[in-house]
Amino acid sequence: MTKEEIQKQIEEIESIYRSYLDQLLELKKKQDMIISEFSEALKNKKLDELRKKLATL
Amino acid sequence: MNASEKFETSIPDSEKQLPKNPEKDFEIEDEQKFEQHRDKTLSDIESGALQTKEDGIARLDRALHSYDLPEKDVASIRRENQVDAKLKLNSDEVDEITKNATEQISQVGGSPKSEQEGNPDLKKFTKQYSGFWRSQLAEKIRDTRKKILEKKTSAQKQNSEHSADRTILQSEITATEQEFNKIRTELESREMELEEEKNRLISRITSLFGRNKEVSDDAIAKELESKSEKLQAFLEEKRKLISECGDVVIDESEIEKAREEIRQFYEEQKNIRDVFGSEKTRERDISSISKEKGVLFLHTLPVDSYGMGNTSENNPNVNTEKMTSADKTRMVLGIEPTISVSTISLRRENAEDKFQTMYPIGLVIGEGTALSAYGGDAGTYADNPFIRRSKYDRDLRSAVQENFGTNLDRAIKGEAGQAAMQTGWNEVVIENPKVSGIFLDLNRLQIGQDTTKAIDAMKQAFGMGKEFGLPVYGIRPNGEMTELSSEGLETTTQENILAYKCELGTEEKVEGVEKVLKTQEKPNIEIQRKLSEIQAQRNSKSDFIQNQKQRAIYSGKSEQCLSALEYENVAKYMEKTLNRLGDIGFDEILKVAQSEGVGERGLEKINSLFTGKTTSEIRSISESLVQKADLLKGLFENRK
Repeated sequence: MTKEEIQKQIEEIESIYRSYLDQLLELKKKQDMIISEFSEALKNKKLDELRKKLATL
Repeated sequence: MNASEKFETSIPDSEKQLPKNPEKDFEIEDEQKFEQHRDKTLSDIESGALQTKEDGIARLDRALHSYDLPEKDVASIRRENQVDAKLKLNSDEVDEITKNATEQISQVGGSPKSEQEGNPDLKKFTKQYSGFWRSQLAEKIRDTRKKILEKKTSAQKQNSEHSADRTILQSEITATEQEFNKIRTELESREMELEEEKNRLISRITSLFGRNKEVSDDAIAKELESKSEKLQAFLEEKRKLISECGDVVIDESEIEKAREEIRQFYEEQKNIRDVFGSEKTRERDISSISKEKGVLFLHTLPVDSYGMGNTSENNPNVNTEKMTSADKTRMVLGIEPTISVSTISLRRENAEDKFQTMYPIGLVIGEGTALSAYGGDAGTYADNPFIRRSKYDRDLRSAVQENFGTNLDRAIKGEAGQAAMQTGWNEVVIENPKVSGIFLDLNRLQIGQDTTKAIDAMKQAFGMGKEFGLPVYGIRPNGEMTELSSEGLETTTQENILAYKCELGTEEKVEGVEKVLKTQEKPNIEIQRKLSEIQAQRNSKSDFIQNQKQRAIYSGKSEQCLSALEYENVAKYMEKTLNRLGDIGFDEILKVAQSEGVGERGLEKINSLFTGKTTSEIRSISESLVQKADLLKGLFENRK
């Protein structure tokens, strides 16, 4: 392989890598969203519990 | 920063950047660095995916314990929100994109042009010839990467805990400092007040009457001083603690070490590949070696009457126990697998001492490329049907042995060395073998008084000669070679033997190999791949047609010899009958045979050989068969 061919292939690898990182970042956000929604649901449950306790006081 | 570091925390879009790959900034000017860069990127991809998943697990774990809810409620909400299914789906998508990116990157520069003719791409070379060592290194690198990743994950966890500890300690220090400053200020003001009072005259007077405020102020000051000292000590302790809560730094020298190992591996393999490329046409060429060194390369085949050794432990690709010698020949002629052979010297220099074969029958290999050579049994193992390597040779770094010339000379002399077992025969591994004929080790066949076994082996040789179109040679340790399938057992030369290489037609190759594969429980991908390759070939060359004509001649010769051995008794009976009863015709001979109680098999043989023949033809055929059988059997009788 010539130096130019190698450089071209390196660029190709970088391009695939960049695209991969974009996709991975999107999936990471999606993962964060799933966990945040779950966390929100847990928080609401806790608030409900506290409200109920307050009501009985 | 690599991918694993990038995904430590969620990254806002605005900050989204391509992580810097340290090697990207280097000027990558050779293939080796290119390979390293590719490996590094593949490794980053792998750790990026893993880090994302581990981060998800850690966040989920934190969420589970955030609100101090009963486990039952948490589990119920987890189910209702289908958290696990959603995360699994997401994780599968991560796997998918990781797999795709890995495949895409692996294919970049996958089939670059060879640097030189006959020198395949280095990666391809290592995959083909050094798969065992490549896998060993890959396993080691994977293990190192896994350990580093585990260390990183653990360090991140520790750093996160340390970060929390630092926050608490910092707030404690701030509060203590505030209190300390307050006390210092108060202490200073008290001291000043005390000093002022001391200076006042009234103070001096009142002191004479014992009403001294100094005492109480002094006590307060002392108390404040003491408190200040305690706070100072407390502060120092906290500061010491905070200094101990620094981030854990991973020692990445292991990764560097692994990279260095990869570099060294490719450097070593490049040397082997280059030398192999330059030696292929002469130093490792079987035809050239045979002529230059005065040797023949023999691939022995098990023969029923001499016991079939089980060598299947060295070949996991096919169940050799279920294969006959003819099956093995079908495979050699069909797919030209990489095989083990032994050499015999034809220069008659101490040949009696050195010549020994594992079995007394086998194939003469006239063409191919030698991969390795040993002066004894090297216990070569077939990683796949096209790669064999010695199990005993610890110095081997590729199926392509280094210092081949020296090793071959030692092998021919029968110097076993440390890498092989002294067995009496040597071992040379050959790829792409071409068969020149079938050999019989005549001296070996003569051992013992029972010639039946020897004749059975001879029949087996002629049977295969007939089927595949191969000449049969009798070889003796003194280098004497006889073409057994020739008319008068003519002496032959190495040059004559090597002049012929049997070449089956495409269909014949495929048919033969498929026949053998039917005996096997499991298919072999490499064999199937080779068969597809063969099917794509065409037999249109004129030398192929010439070869087929030669094959037909050898097939006919072997058939005659086989007939002589199989029909010898019938021919003798026919001769005797004609001598006894005069020139009678075939029908009369048949009647006589029936009346004289010749068995069904005998009658079948008479029918198949003499039906429709004239009396003189019967006489001539019978004489010829008896003569040929006597000649062949005489090979054993003479030497007893």
